[in-house]
Amino acid sequence: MLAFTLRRLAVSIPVVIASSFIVFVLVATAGGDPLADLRLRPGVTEEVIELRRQQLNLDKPVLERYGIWVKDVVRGDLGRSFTNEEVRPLLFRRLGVTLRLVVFATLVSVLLAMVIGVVAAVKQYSRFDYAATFLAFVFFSMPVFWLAAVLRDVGIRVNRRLGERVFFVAGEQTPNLAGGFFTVWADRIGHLILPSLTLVLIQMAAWSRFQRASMLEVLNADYIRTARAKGVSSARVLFRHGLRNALIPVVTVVAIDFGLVLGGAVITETVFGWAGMGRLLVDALGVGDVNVVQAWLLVTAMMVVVFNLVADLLYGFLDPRTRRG
Amino acid sequence: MADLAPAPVGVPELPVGDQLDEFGAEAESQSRRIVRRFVHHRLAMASLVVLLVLMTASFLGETITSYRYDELTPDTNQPPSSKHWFGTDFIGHDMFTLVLRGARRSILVALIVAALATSFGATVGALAGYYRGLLDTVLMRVTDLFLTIPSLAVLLVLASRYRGQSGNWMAIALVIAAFAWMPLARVVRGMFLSLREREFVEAARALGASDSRIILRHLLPNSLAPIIVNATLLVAAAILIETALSFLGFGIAPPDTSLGRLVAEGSNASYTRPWMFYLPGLWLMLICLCINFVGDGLRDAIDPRDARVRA
Amino acid sequence: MVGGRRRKALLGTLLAVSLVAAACGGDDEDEGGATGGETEEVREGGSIAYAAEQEPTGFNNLTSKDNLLELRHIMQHVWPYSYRALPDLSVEPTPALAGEAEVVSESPFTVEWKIAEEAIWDDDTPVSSDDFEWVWLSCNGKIDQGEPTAKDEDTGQDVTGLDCASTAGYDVSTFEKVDEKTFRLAFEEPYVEYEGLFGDPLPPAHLGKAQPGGWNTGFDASPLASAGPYKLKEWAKGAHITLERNPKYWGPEPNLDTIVFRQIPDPSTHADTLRNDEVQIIYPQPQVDLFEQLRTLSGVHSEANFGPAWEHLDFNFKNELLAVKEVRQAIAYGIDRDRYVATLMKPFSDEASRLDNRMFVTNQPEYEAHGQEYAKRDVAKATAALEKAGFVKGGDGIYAKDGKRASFRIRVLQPNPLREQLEQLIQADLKGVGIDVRIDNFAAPDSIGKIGASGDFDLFIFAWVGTPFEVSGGQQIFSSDSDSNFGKYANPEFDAGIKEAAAILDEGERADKLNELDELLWEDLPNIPLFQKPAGVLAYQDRYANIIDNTSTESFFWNSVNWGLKPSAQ
Repeated sequence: MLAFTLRRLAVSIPVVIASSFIVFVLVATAGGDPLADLRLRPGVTEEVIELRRQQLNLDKPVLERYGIWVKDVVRGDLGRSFTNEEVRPLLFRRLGVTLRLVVFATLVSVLLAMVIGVVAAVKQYSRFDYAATFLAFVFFSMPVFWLAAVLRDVGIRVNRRLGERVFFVAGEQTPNLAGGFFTVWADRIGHLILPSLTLVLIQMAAWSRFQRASMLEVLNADYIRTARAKGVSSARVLFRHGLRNALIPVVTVVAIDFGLVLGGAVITETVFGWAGMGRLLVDALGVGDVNVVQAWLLVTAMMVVVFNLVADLLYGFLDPRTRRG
Repeated sequence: MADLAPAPVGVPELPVGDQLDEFGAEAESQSRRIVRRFVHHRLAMASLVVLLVLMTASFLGETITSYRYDELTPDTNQPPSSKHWFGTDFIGHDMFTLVLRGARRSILVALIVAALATSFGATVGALAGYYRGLLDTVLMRVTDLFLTIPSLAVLLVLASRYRGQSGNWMAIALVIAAFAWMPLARVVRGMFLSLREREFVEAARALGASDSRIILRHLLPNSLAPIIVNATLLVAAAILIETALSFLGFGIAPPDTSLGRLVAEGSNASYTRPWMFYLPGLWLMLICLCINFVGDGLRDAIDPRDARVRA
Repeated sequence: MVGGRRRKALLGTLLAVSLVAAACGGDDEDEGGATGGETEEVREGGSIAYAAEQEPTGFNNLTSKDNLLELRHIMQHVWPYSYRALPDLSVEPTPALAGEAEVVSESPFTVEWKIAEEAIWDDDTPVSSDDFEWVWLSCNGKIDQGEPTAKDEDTGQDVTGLDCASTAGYDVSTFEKVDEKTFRLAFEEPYVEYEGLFGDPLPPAHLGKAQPGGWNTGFDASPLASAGPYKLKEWAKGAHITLERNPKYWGPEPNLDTIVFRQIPDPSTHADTLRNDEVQIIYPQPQVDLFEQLRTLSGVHSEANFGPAWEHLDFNFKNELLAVKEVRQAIAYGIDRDRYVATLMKPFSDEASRLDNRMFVTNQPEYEAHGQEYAKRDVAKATAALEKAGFVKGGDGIYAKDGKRASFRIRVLQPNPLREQLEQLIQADLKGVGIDVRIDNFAAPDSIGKIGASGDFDLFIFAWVGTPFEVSGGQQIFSSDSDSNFGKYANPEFDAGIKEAAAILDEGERADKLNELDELLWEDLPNIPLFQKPAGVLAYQDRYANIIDNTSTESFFWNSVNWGLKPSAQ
C-alpha cells in the first residue's frame, strides 16, 4: 500500500508541473491587456505605462516569465497580483472563505445523501424512493444560479414574515458586529445557511443517487442473499454486511468531487457575495492576472491530487485487480 | 467545479457480470431485452416522449411560431398572450421564438459535447484497458493531467478567449468537451481491464481474432452500458455547464442565443417580468429532467442488478 | 472618460457636472449653496452601509494602480481636495480651502490657492502647501528614465517612475510655494480649467514621504492620516472598509458615526441585499428591471438621474466606405434616435430625450440642439445620400459601390444589455435603408480603450462622460492628434478652433465658440450623439434623510455629513 501511494504521488508531481505550465501559457497569452485602462486615461505618459509593463514582466517572452515564476515559487514566493497585493495571503484568505462554506456543505450533503440513498434502496419502489428520486432529479436538472436566486428570494420573504432577520444574503458576517461569542456565531450561521443549502441540495441529489445504486448492488449481492438464506435477520444483514460496503463507493465519489469543489463554488459565491476562491479566479482571469491564476491552480491542483489519491486508495480496497494497472 | 456541473458525469459502476457470453452471440437478444425493459419503465418512456416533443418543437422553431427570431415586433415588454405565447422582451422579440432558438443551440452544443467527449473518452479507456503496459500508463497520466488541471480554470480561460465573439458556440462546445471525457475513460478502462480476462476473449484470440476485432466486436458492445448512460447524462450536464458559463458571462454570444443565456439575462427580471426568467428556465429544466430520466431508465434497463430479486 | 462596466474615477480636471432630473427643492437664485436644498432634522449617531462593487487595492486614488471610482467615494471623506461639484451646475471650494482660487496674474497665467487656516491632519500637522506640492511633483510627468528633471527637496527623492494617473494641468505649470498655507501654479499658456486641479483627495506628504513605498505604494494598507470628516476604522479585506468620525475635523460635523463600504462584487445582488437591509444604500448601473424592482420595495426610495454620460455611435474613418461623408449621412438619416430613447431611456425618466450636441448635455444652459436635419429617421434622404455617392442597391437589398457592399461591423463591450439592445435596434433600422450591420461584440479582457486604440471596428457604441471643462473633453475626443480619437477623424479647422476655445477666459464666449465647433462636427459627422443615460440608480432605506443624488464623480456621497436617521426611525 505504501509503495502504491508513493508511486502515485511521484507520478502526480510531473502532472502538476505540466498543468501549471499549460495554464500559465494559456493565461499569459490569452490576449488581455492589463494596461488597457491605463492607456486610456488622459495624461498618462508613456513612461508610466512602460514602467508598469516592466514591473509586471509583460515585456518578457512567455517562457522566461514562466521560468521566473517557477524560481519564485520554489522559494515560497507566490508573487504579487496586478494590483500589487501579495498573492499568498490573498489566496489563503480566499481559500479559508471557500473552505468554511464548502466543508460545512459537503458534510451535510454526505450525511443526508447516505441516509436518503440507503433508505431509498432498502425501501425500493416505495413512495419514499420515488419522491427522493424525483426530487434528486429535479435538483440536478436545475441551473445552480437559478436555485440560488430562488433561495435568496425565499429567504428574504421568510425574514419579512417573521419580522426577524434570520437569513442573510450577502457575505459571511455582518461588519462591525458588536456582541459576544453567541451573537457573532449566530450571525455567521445566519449567513451560512442559504449558500450552503444551495450546494447541499444539488450535491446531495447526485450523491444520494449514487448511494442508492451502490446500496442496491450490495443488497443483491450473493453474500447477502446467502446470509439471508441462512436465516440471519434483515437488520443484522443490512448493518453488519451491507452497509459498510455500500458506503465506501460514495466516499470515493465524494473524495473525487471534493477536490474539484475546492475550485470554488463560483456561482454560489457570486450570488451570495462570499469572497472566495471561485470569485478570485473569475476576476483574475478577467484581467489575465497570471500570478493569481497560477497560485490558484497550484493550490487546487495539489488538493485534487491528494483527494484523487485518497479515492484511488479506497477504490483499490474494493477491487484489487485495478491496483496492478 | 462543484456547481458548474452538478451531476457526476461518470458514475463508476462495477463491471457488469452476467450478460456477457462468448462471441457476442447473445448480444443481440440482449439488446432486445434492454429495449423491452426500457419500454416498461414508465417514467423513462414518458420522459422520452416529452423530450421528443420538446426537441421537435425546438428544431422546428420558426415554422411553428409565426415570427423570426430577430424580428422586432412593436409589442415590447408584453406578458404571455395569445399573440405571443411566452410574451415579448424589452425591444420586441417574441420570447417563444427566442426560447425555441435558444433550445436548439443549447441542445446542439450539448449533443456535440456528448458525442466528442464520449468517443474520445471511450477510445482512451479502451486502449488503456486493453493494451495495458506503457500505453496504459501514458494514457492514464494524460487523463490524470486533465483531471488535475482544475477544469474550471481552463474552461474559463479558454471560454474567455472566445468571449463575446459571435459564432463562438462551436468553440464553447469544444472547450466543454475537452474536460468532460475523463471520467468515462476511467470507467471504460476499468471495464476493459476486467473483461479482457474472460474466457471468451481468450477463446477469440485462440481462434486468431485480431486485437481490433476483439475490441470492437466483443469488448466494446459489452461495455456499452456505462458508455450510453454516461453519454446521455452528459448531454444534460453540458446544457447546465453552458448555462453556468452564460451566467458568468462566458457563454454563447449574440446574435446567437442559448437557453442558458436567456435564463441568465432574465435573472434580473424575475420580479418585474417573470416570463423572461421562469419560462426559459422551465423549458431548460424540463429538457434536462427528461434527459436525466431517460438516462436513468437506460441504466436500469441495461443493468438489471439494480432491480432487487425478490428471493 | 470611459464608459462601460468598470467605473474608473475621473481625475483632476474632469470634475463632471451633474444634472438632476428630479428636483430637490432649491430655487435657482440662492444656489451654489453647499447643501443644495433644505436639510431635514436628523438624529445624532447611527451607521449606514453601502454596497460597493470593487475593492480598492490601496488608498492613493491619484496613482493609476489604485484609481477607482469606488475609492474616490471613500477618500473624499478622508483626505482633502480643492473643488467639488454640486448637484446643480456649480463647483465650489471644499472646506479645505479658504475660498476660491484666484487668478493673480494673466501673463504668465498664474493661479493662487489658499488653504484653510484650521485645516489639519489628525496627527495635528497642518494641511499645508507641501501636501499640494507633493501632488504636483508626482504628477507633472517630467519623468525621464535615468534623468530626473524634478527632485523633491525634502527627501532628495527624484520623481522618476512615479505612478500618477493623470498629469493634465500639472505638466504645463510650475509650482511656487508662497507660504505654508498659500501656493501658486504658473502656466505657460492660459489654463482656464484650473478649478479642476487638485480635485482628487490628496495624501499627507509628511507621512507619505517617510513611508516605505512612498507615493506609489506607501498607502496600500492605510491612508495614514485623515483631514476629512471621517477616518479609517478598519479594512477587513474582501469584506468591508469602515470609516468612523474624525474628531479633529474642522468643518461641519457629520451626524452618522460610521459609514461602511461592503464589498459585494455582483451588482445584480445589490437590490436583494438592500431589500434584506444588509446594506442601506446602493448605486447600481441603470437597468430597467432593477429600477422597477426597486420602485416596488416598501421603505426604499429610488431615483435615476440623468448624468453627464452620453452614448454615441462612432465611425472609423479608416474604413474607406465610412470615410465617405454621404455614407455617414445615410446612417445618420437611417437611425431613429427618438425611438431608442422611448424604448430604452423613458422607463427611467420621462425627461429622457435625444442628444443633439457633443459639447453640452441637455440640461446645461449652454446646450443648443444642432444637426436638426438628422433629428428624425428619413429613409428617403438616407437612400438619396447613398445614391448621390454612387451606391447602387443590390439584389439583396443592400447598397454597394464598385463591388463593395455597405456592410459594417458594429461593436460594444459586453455585457451591457442596454447597448446590446441598442445595437439590434440600429441594425434593424439600417437594414431598412439598405445598409447591412453585423454585430460583433467583445468582452473582458479586451476593453473599450484597447479596441478603440487599435481601430478594430467599423461602428462603435460607448459613452463619454461630460465635464464642465468641455474644452479638454472636446480636445480629447476630436483632436486629430489625440489618442482617444479612436475613429481618427482629422480636421485642421477643428484643431485650430478648439485651441482658440482653450484660450477664452469668458465662459459665455467660450460656450459660443464650442457650439460653433459642434455645428462643424455635425457637418463632418465623426460620430452621432445618441442620448444621455442615467449615471446609476440611487436607492436607499428611507429611514435616512438628506441623501441627495449627484451625478458627478462627487457622487451622492457629496453631502454625507448631512445624512442621518430620521427622528421617527427605530
